[in-house]
Amino acid sequence: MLKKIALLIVLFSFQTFGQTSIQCQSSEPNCVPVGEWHFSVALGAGVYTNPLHGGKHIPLVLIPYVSYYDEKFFIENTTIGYTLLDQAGWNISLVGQLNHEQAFFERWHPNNIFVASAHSSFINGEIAADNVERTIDVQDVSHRDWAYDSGLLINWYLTSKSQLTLEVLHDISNVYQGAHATIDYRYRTTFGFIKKSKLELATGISWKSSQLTNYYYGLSEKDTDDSLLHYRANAAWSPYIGLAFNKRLSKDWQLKVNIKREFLSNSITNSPLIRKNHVDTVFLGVKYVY
Amino acid sequence: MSTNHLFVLTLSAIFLYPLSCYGFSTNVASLEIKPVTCMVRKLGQPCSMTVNIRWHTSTPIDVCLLQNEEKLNCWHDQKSVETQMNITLAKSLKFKLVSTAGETLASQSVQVNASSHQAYRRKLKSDWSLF
Repeated sequence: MLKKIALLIVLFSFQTFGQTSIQCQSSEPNCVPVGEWHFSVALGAGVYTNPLHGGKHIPLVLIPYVSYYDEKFFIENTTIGYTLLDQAGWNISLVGQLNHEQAFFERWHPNNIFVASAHSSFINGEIAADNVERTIDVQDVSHRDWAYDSGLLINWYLTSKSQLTLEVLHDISNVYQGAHATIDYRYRTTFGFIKKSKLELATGISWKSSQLTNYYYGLSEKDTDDSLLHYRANAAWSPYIGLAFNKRLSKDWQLKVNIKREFLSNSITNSPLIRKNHVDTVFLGVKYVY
Repeated sequence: MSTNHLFVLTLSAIFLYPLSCYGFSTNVASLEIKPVTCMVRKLGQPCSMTVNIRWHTSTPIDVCLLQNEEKLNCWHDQKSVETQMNITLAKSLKFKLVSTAGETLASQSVQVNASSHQAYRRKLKSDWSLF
């Protein structure tokens, strides 16, 4: 079924090949010049919290950013895409991108290597025994691989300030052999009293297939011999809210504030691996655009 | 020679002398540089191109071609020149044909314009999917 839909989209895109893509003006927000590489780096303080037992929060200090947009092809950090159709009110692209679920399990992260975990399995074991609630540290489970996904990205431009985005992705790296999707609503506005600033409010919900949640958050005999810790995760729906504030300080420098909270689904939080029912992203810093 | 003839001759000398001097010092000159426009992708980028330069004066003269007060080339005792030259512009500039006395005989501007074909498209992802 998915193959048929993909084939129809590709055929439709060839039918409309030659149509000029919808061009926006340079002064409009979220418009980028075609055929130019963009590099920037954000320097500041922030954190991407890790909801796993024994999982270290990921510090956000230096965030590099790279993008390139051709007429159809584009790169945005770890995402590579090809726009099949670009209409005035919407567009659809084929994309491939790194799945960042594994970041919570990453052991080579500097913090995971140089800083001893405060939650050893022994301590967890005691807590488990005393409080009945059984938990397990990320260090004590089997390795989870990075995955690479591919699928469709569809944007609808509802008004000049708001947009709806649907992303449907499937694992093409044969790691978790599942899929995930996100529907995201964004509203952009400006502060009249803060010059050269813009605020973006976002809310949405992400769906993760049982194959994905089970690969990363499920527990089996591969992870532990304790059958009481074994856990099979179902598909998960996790809503989120966030905001991004930018203020231009000079031609090259911007002040940047990002806050986001994702509320994890019960299917994930019920896993003995999970200690927090949400994931926060907070960053405050300056961004230099090359 | 009668007094009348002498009077007419003197008057002619008085009136014609300044005209002859004027005609000598302000040599009638023309300058033509083609193309007159240099295109860049984005304003501010340097623009390089080969231009055809043609200038002509009514009498042979020593002149220099200046690009924004900087000498590009000088010619000795010439009244007509047609040549090609590579130029680089950061912005629109005036080219001047100047005599050795520093007098501007002719000038022409060359414009630097940004390409009107610079296309823009909508950004499809936010800076980082984390946000």
